[in-house]
Parts: sequence; C-alpha cells; structure tokens
Amino acid sequence: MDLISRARAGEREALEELLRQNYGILKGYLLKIGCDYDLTEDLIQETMYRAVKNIKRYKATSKFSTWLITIATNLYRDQLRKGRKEILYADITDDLQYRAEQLDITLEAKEKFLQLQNIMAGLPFEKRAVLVLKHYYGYSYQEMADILQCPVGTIRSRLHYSLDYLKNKLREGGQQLG
Amino acid sequence: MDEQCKQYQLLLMDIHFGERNMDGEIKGHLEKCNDCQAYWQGLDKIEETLDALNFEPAVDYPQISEVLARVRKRESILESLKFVLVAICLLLASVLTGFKFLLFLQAFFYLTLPFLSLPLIYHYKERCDSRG
Ligand SMILES: [Zn+2]
Repeated sequence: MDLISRARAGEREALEELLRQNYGILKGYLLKIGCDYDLTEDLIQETMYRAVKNIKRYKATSKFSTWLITIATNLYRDQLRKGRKEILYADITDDLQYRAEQLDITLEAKEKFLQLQNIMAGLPFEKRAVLVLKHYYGYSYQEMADILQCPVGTIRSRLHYSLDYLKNKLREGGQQLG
Repeated sequence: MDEQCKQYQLLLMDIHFGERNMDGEIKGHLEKCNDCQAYWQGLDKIEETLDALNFEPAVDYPQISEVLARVRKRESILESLKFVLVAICLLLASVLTGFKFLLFLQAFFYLTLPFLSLPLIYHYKERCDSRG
C-alpha cells in the first residue's frame, strides 16, 4: 500500500511521514507569500490539522502538497477577510532580520532576501500568490486557478501584472538584486 | 507599447512558463519588435532575481507530533460521545418501550462482564507464560 492509502487508513506513521515530506513546502509557501512569522506558525498548525482530520476527503488526483497549499491559502485569505492587516515588510525589519536568521541563510543572500521581500510586499496578496506558485512551485495556470479559486484568465493577467511590477521595481533599484 | 505588443507579451509569458509552444507568428513578431525582445529576455532575469527568496525551511518535528496528538484527541472525544449517545438511546428505548428486561440485561452485563472475563484473562496469561 502506498503512503497516501496508508495515511487515509489512519496509520500514524504514514501520516507523520506525509506531513514531514511536505512541511518545508507548506512553510516556505506561507513565508514567501508574505505571511508574518507568528501567523505562519499558526497557519501551518491549522493546515496540517485540517488536512489530517479530513484526509479521507483528499482525492489523490493532485499532489498532497497542493492540497496543503490550498488549505493554507484559504486560511490566510480568511485572516485577511477578518480584517487582519497584512504586515508590510518595510515596517518590520526586525521581524525580517529574525526570519532570515531562522532560515539559516548567508549574509549576502540575506541582503537580497530582504530586498526582494520588500519589493514583493508592494504586490497585493492574490498577485503575490500567483507569482510564488508559478516561480517556486511550478504550478500550471489551471492548478493555480484551482488553488486560488478563480478563472485561468485571471491567473494569467495577475502573473503578467506581477512580472511587469517586478521588472519596473528592478529597474528603479538599478538591478541590485540580479 | 501598443495593444498588439501587449497581446504578444502575454503569449511570450505563456511560452516562457511552458503553457504554450512558440509558433511562427510569435517568432516573426519577436524578430522585428525590440520591445517584445526585451520583454522576452527580461523574463529570465526576473526569475533569476526571484531565486533570492528560494529556501525550504527545516522540518519542525514536535509541531507535527502536536498536530497528530490533537487529531487523536479529537477522535477519542468523538468516540466517547458516540458511546454516551448510544447508551442514552438504549436507556431511553428501554424506559419508553417498557422493555425493562433491556435495562436488566444492560445492568447484568455491566456488573458481571468483568468477573466473567476473569477466567479468560487467566487462560490467556497462562498461555503466554507457557510460550515464554
Ligand atoms: Zn512587440
């Protein structure tokens, strides 16, 4: 029996392995879309909990990580809907510093990391999410449309907008990041 | 930038991300349009830039265990609730239908089952001991 089937049968070891394999993707996704560190911890916890609780509802037509990302996206969206203000990176340098340290990256990479996060913060959540899903996780337009629950055409125009935005920001910043 | 170039750039983006194949028409436009050429080359540059944010955080094992424990706890609460519900239903059924013997049967099993099972437990213990 494969891992998914064992997990669906409620086998603890299989569930643990499944979560372990996808933990990095889930946490990386939340941090990349701009979720602040404390909220990321809460959302990971809640996402994994809901995924395990509803494991029987998971259809193995898509990857398990896709399912986790869909749940996490909806949870994050709920937070924004409830009026939680997105923390703008520009105002939370300390938090970013902390985050970079947590992620154990080199000093030079940290500098680029912080710059890029500042730029990304200028995008609205829905557009940032498209860029992140495409670039870091290689999702197709259709998969992104399923995750973000919107038409493929919207995904396409959001991606185009985000790329244009990034291009202009890089030009303004003298391409320091390249 | 005119509307036509805007449309071509959307198509170039599709090609860049593997959502469409390059065809003769797009290629033809790309060869004669400087704006679209710059756009096409810029896509690689943007992706290269985005790599600065590419990382995968370490696995937090205690957090995973915590989640699984939370699910287990929920399941056991649900099971207890189910048990209580069935017991209440049985009780109500016995009282309402006047089948008092159901009540007596239930009470009889509650009281005697632990004692009835003693020889069985003893038997299994013996068998385990003899197997070493
Ligand atoms: Zn053109």
